[in-house]
Parts: sequence; structure tokens; C-alpha cells
Amino acid sequence: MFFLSENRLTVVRDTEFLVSDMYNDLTPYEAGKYQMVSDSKKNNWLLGRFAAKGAIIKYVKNAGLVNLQYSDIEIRSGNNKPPTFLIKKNDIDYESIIKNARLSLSHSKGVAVAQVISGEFGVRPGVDVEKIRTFSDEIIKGFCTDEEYLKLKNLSSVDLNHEATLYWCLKESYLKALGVGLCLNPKYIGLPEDVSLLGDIYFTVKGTPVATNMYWTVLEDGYIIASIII
Amino acid sequence: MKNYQQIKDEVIKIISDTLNISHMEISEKSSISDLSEDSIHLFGLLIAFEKTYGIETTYEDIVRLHSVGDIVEYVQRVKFTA
Repeated sequence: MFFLSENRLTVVRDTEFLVSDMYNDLTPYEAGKYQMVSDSKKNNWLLGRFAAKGAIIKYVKNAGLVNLQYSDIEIRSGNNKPPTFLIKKNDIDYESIIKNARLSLSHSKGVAVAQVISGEFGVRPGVDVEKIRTFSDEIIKGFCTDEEYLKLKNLSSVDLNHEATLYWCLKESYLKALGVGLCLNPKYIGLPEDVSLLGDIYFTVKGTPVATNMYWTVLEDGYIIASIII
Repeated sequence: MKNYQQIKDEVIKIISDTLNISHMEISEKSSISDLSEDSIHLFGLLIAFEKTYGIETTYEDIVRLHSVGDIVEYVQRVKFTA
């Protein structure tokens, strides 16, 4: 279908930018939100905003506009709802360029990923990033379908950590694209039998097949990033 | 029937064990989303509550309940009040 490459995503790391620089690019509204974030999550939160703004700048650039700065963009997010954004600059009509744009963002342990696509025809993105980790059997059973659980049970521990993290990433991305987050149990999202096949593929939602576009990759230092477009 | 204090101690132990945080760092006022590092940890908490109390809690519930004290009241209301 489209966007079948890493170019569809904007990935940033905490080693690339100074916290003070990222903070200075926040709008007053965002700075107010930042103060309400717990101290242990502040840096990841900032990184998420930074990735999102980078993805928006990339999206606007594709429309031929190059003068947008990070501080011109305001990211708004609600509990369990897809984030939205505003452009706080009115030298040209940005509104007409971004009116259909859809944003998804995620951050985990010093890495953030964001994606902006045109939401024309109802298309929606969902992204997730996770550090590869160990999962308890109960958690795997909790978020996998019976078939997925059986498949994971037969893997060695190294492969299990990778696959379980990937399954989680794909499911959370899908739920974000749906716009419901974890309000729907991830076990109701069925992954394709072969998750190594990228591109147009079918997921299931409560057993019903749904056309999906899937991309994922593993970063060198053990993070998986996934992107779903529905 | 368990009283508020007993449920509170249990809930704090579940959170402490699941999220690997000292129980000293958890109070009734602690925010659940602040305590959990990310969505996977939060999901682990849902599974732990489900297992202990037989209550199917959703992520939305946890976010809405917000604090540890809210969860204690929720468990007391749903599980121990007829």
C-alpha cells in the first residue's frame, strides 16, 4: 500500500538532544503540561513531543513548506485518545495542509517514535516502541490469543523475549490506530500468522479479519518499533 | 469481609510486587500511571488485580481510578460490598 519503509517513522533518542533545548521548544501550554508529568517521566515525555514535532515538520515539508520550527507546533494529548496538534504560526494557511493529518507517538526508556500521515479516507496510524524485555507467563497469556500463546511457548527464552515484545508492540500500535488504546484488551487483536511479512496484511479484531498495513523494525540497541496503518 | 486497611495493604503489596517498587514508595495518594513505567507494566497490574480479586479491570478503569486509594475503594465496593 504505502509507507513501507523506515521513512514513515520519525525516531529520536535522548542521546541526540539536550533536555534544555527540547524544553525551550515547548509552547506555554505544553510547558504547563510538562510540569504535571512526574519527574521520572519528564525526559521521555519531552522526547515524545520532540519526535512528534519532527514528524509534523517532515509531513509539512512534504507539502513544500520548510519554515516550520519545533516551537511553532503544539502537541495536545488526552487520556487514551490519539494526540492532536496545532500550528501556532499564521504566516501561511497551515490549517489547510494539516487538516487531515493524523499523529501517533510513543516513547520508551530514552527512545521516542512518531508518525504523521494524511487521514484522508479515514486512514489512521498507530505506533509503539518498546525495549525488548522478559515477560511473565501470565502477562503473555493475558495479551495473546490462545494460538499466539502456544506459538510463543515453543520458543527459546531469547526468541521469546523478542517475539513477545514484538507481539505487544504490534498490538498496542493497532489499538492506538483504532483510537482506543488499552481500553480494549490486546488479546482481542489477532496478529497475522507470519509477523515477518510486512506491508498489507490482515489482523483480526475479536475474530473478524481487518485489512491492515504493518511495519516493524529492531533498532541496534534492542528496541522494537512498530507502525500500523488502518 | 476485608476492611479498608486490609485491602489497602493488599493493593500496595500487589503494586509493589508487580512493578518492583518498594512499598515505602507507595501511598494512598500515589498515581498509578506515575508508578508504572509504561503500558506493559500497567497491563501487568491489570493482570495481577484480575488474578487476586477475580475482577476484570480495564486500563480505562485504572486511569480513571487514578490513585492507589481510588483502587482500594473500587476493590472494596466491587468485591466486598454485596
